[in-house]
Order: sequence, then structure tokens, then C-alpha cells
Amino acid sequence: MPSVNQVIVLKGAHVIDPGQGVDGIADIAIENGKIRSLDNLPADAQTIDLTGSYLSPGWVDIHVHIYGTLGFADPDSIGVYQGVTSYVEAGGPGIGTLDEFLALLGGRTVTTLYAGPYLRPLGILSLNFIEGDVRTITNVPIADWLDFKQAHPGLLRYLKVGAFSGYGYGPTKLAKGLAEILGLPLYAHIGEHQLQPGNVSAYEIYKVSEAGDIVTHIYHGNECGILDRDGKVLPIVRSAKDRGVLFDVGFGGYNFSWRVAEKAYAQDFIPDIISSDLQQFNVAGPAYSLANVATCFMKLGMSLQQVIERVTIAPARALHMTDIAGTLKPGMPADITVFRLDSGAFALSDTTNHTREFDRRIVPTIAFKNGERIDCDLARCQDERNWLLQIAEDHEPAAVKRLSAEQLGFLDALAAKLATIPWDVTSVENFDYDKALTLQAAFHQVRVQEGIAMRDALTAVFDSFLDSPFSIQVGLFLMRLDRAFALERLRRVSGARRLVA
Amino acid sequence: MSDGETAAPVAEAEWEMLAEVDPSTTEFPARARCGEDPILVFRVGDGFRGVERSCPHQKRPLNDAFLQGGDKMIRCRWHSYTFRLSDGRAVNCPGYKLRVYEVKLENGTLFARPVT
Repeated sequence: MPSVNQVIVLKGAHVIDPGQGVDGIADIAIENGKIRSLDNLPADAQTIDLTGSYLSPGWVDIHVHIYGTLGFADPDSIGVYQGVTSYVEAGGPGIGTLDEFLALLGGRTVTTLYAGPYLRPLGILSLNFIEGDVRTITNVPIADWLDFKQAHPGLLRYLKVGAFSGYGYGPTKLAKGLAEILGLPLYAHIGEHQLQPGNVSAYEIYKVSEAGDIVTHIYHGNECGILDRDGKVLPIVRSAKDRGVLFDVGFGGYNFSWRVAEKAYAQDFIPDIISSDLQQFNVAGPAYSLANVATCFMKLGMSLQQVIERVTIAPARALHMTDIAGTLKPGMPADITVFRLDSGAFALSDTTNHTREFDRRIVPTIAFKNGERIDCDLARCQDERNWLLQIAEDHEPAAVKRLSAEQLGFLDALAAKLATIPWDVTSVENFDYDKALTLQAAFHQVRVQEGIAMRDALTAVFDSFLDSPFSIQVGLFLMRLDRAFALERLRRVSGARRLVA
Repeated sequence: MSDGETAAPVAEAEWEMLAEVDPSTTEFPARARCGEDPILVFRVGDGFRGVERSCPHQKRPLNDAFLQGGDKMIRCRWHSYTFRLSDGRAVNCPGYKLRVYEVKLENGTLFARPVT
């Protein structure tokens, strides 16, 4: 494998770089992890023949879930292995869990990871029946938000809110206010209204959003969508688009309907950004990959160039990061996606179990991340261990054997602390959100008391229960465990090690 | 229940004959009734397992659900909510529970009873 310092010339591909108006056969050179001018190439430059392939700036997916109760055990499986060189965690953490998020995932993906935190301190719960409960917002600690953003420049790319609260427009306006304070775009989720018939709170988002704010899940087929009862794009939606509010696909698990997308497209209402909303609950179908979602828009009638624009320069502009992503200008990070446009008979399903046939399919084959070559593997994310979070109830995960004495001591203390807290996940109706906060507070109290690093404490807990390394809000994770089993496992893990010692 | 307490034993339900399902000819999953309960019967490994007909998440039908993890789990095709076939407990969707049924084959006839 060549060193990243060696000059590499990617030859003969059809380059689509909408940010520079490039659309044709061209060569692209890489040196020191950056795009290089084609002038004065050294004689020993390595060449890779990409004749017959397409090549574009590395794809940017502004809406994925790799953290929290929707996330994956292998985050790069939906990143570079699918041709996506940068992505944004869309709402998994909030201000109360961003430290956990960073400890578990910061710097640990090949794909560049950004955060689009949620207004709620705990982040997305993935429990739709209480996701719209305004009480779960609990607190908006503005100083903490400002301090975190200042301490982590460039990490936060937008502020997310679910515009489907059953409490009117308050949460949306709270989020817009906080986004303005933080200098971030507002990223508004407008799905899930099917859970609250008659609630029309999503419409407020079109009023409060300004140019540069982003609305996601625009083609959902549930209540409170972008169309009126006659299938016409609502004037309030059109007006928001006209004044510069950006409209993002966010395919998701509930939020892409062929019926809505086709009607909107027929009225020339097309997305500004194409994102996948890949998560545990749609990766095994119908979303599969950003490439698959992008292919849906070719089926609708968009050109390949229009589609590539919406996964490269358009998201880079929306996230104010055109200096680091979105084009192949010399000097830019060498983030590149190589792909094919296959011909055949392909079925494209929406989230309402409706399918359209199409004769082409976008298939990523190679990603370059900062000049490093990664061969794409679309099957990698489909591994059940990657997306099906299972508690290892009948055995101790192998990772337990690698826990340090410090981690085991922490687990011992944590078990003692948790033994003083009753909890029980008995049913959806009785799910106790406040208890998750109590368990999270208990975890951090013991962590501080034991003087153990955040990551070591978190992995000690997850490694005691999981065979695959999912990254979840620790309070929610503990909440989903059977209490008696959890206490027994923590005691056994920490106790067994003491006996060995 | 406090830590360390044990639950009182629960009486097992009676087996109900699934007269409408002929295991030699029926395609699975098969619709049946266990007493008053409308259920779906799946072939799992060498045997059978019954579940309620719709997912407790959004009441979508489970007739085209996927069996997962070596037939130990069932995954709703709509939103991938997944449940253990042994006891119906949620795998990836805490708080939800699927009603599941033991199903046995005796002398060419299927019988079912709810897992309690």
C-alpha cells in the first residue's frame, strides 16, 4: 500500500464535482492527504486507473445515527465503507451526553464525525411515545452549550429539534433561540406526527426558520407533511424554500414516501440535500445506504449530477464547511468517492412498503479519506451484530476479560450504587424517563468518586453486557436492562476478577 | 419487586388445538386462533412458534416479518423492531413486548398456548 505521502493520480474517471462545475473525464492527484494540482507530477507518482468509474468529492451525509439508541456497533460501516467520508450524528447526544458521545466516538472513526446535538439534554431517546413530551427537555443550560461549543470548535454543525411536540410551538422556538445563540443552523425533524393526530406543530418550523436552517424528513407520508390534502405543496412550505430554508431528505425509518416525493417532484419541489438517516431500524431495509437513497432521486427524475451535488457541495455549504469538504479543489482534504452506475432491474422501497422499479443503481466502490484508500463494502453494515443491539444475557462478553482492575473496581462501586435505585422497564406506557436521568447521574457520581476516565467507565459498563461495541447514553442503556440481571452481572464481573487477583 | 425476591409461579395455560392449520400443506406463517387470540404460526428450526399478528410498535402486520438470529427472534419488516420468540421481550425497543405462543405438533395436529 502506498504511503499517504506518495503522489497518487486517479486516472480516467468521469469526475463530477458540482462545486467546481466539473463534469467529464479528468485526472485527480493526491499528495500528503490532500488534493494536489496536476502540474509538475513526479515521475514516480502512483497511478490508479479508474476508467469506467465515476469520481466525486467524498460524500457528506448530514443525517446518520451512530450514537445512542439508534446507533451502530461499527460506525464506519455506514461511512467510508459506503463512500461517505463525512457524516453528522443527527441528535443522538444532547448537552447532557455530548461528553459521553465524545469519549466513546471522538477520533475513533475513519469517517469524519460531526455532531448535530438535540435540544433535549439526553439526546434522542428513540422512544417515540415520549419523544414529543416537552418535559423531557428538562433544561436548556445555555452557558454549558456555549462552553462546549467553544471547547470543541468545528464539532457542532447544527442544533436538532423534533418539531412534533404535543405542546405547541414552544420546543421549536426554544431550539431556534438556542441555535441562534450558538450560531448554528436549526435542524428540524418534521416526522412522527402519526403518533399525535391533529397536532400540527411542525408547520411552525416553516415560520421560524431562516435562510440556512434545515428541515428534514420532507417526504414523509404521515400527518403534517409538506403537501395539502389535494397533494399540492403547501404555500407556507414553498415560501420557506423561497427565502432560503433548506429541505433535506432524511429518508429514515418512517419518513420517505414515494407518493409524497413523486407529487412534490412533479411540482418542481426538489430537495436541497440528500441524507439517509441511517440507523439500526432501517439499514437492513429500506434505506440500506446513502447511495440507495440517492438512487431513489434518480428514479424521481434528477440527473446524476444533481444527485451528486446534493451529497457533496450542497451539504458542505449547508454545514458551512466548504473549506474542508464538498469539492476537489487543490489543497482540500483528499476525501473522494469512486462509484459505478450499474444497470439492471432494481427495486427501491420507501418506508411505507411501497416499491418502485429502476434500471440504474449508484454503487460506491472506493473511498479516499485524507488520501487513504478504503475499498467500499456495502455488506459490512448488514452484519446483524452491527445493528441489532442484543444484551448478552446468557454469557459474559469476551471483552470482560480485558477490563482493567480500575474498571472492575468502578463496576463494583457502580453495582453498590445502583442497588439503592429501583427501576423497572415494564411497558411502553410505564417507561420512566426521569429514572434514566437518575441512573445516568448515579453512573457519573460513581465515576467521579472513583476517579476513572469517562471512556474507561463507559466501556466497562458496555463491555459487561454487549458483545458488540455500541455507544449509547449510559442512563438509557442501564434503564433498558432488567435490574436484577444488571446487578448480578455487575457483581459477578467485578467479583470474579477480584477472586483471580 | 425488590432485589432478591422471587416471583410466585404462574400457572401454564391450556393447549389449544389449531384446527385450521394443516402443517403438511399450509404455507407458513399461517393465520390461526389460539382460543380467542388471533395468531401467526411460524416455522422455526425443526418446530413452530406463534406470535400475535401485529407488531406492538405501530400495529403493522407481522405476516411478512423476518426471523432473525437463528430463528430465535422476529423482526418486523416495517421498522425492524425485534422481539425474542422465547418470551416476547423486546430486543432493540425497550418497553415493548410481543405476545408469543408455544406451538407443538402432535399426531399431525398443531396445538398452541400463550407463553406466560
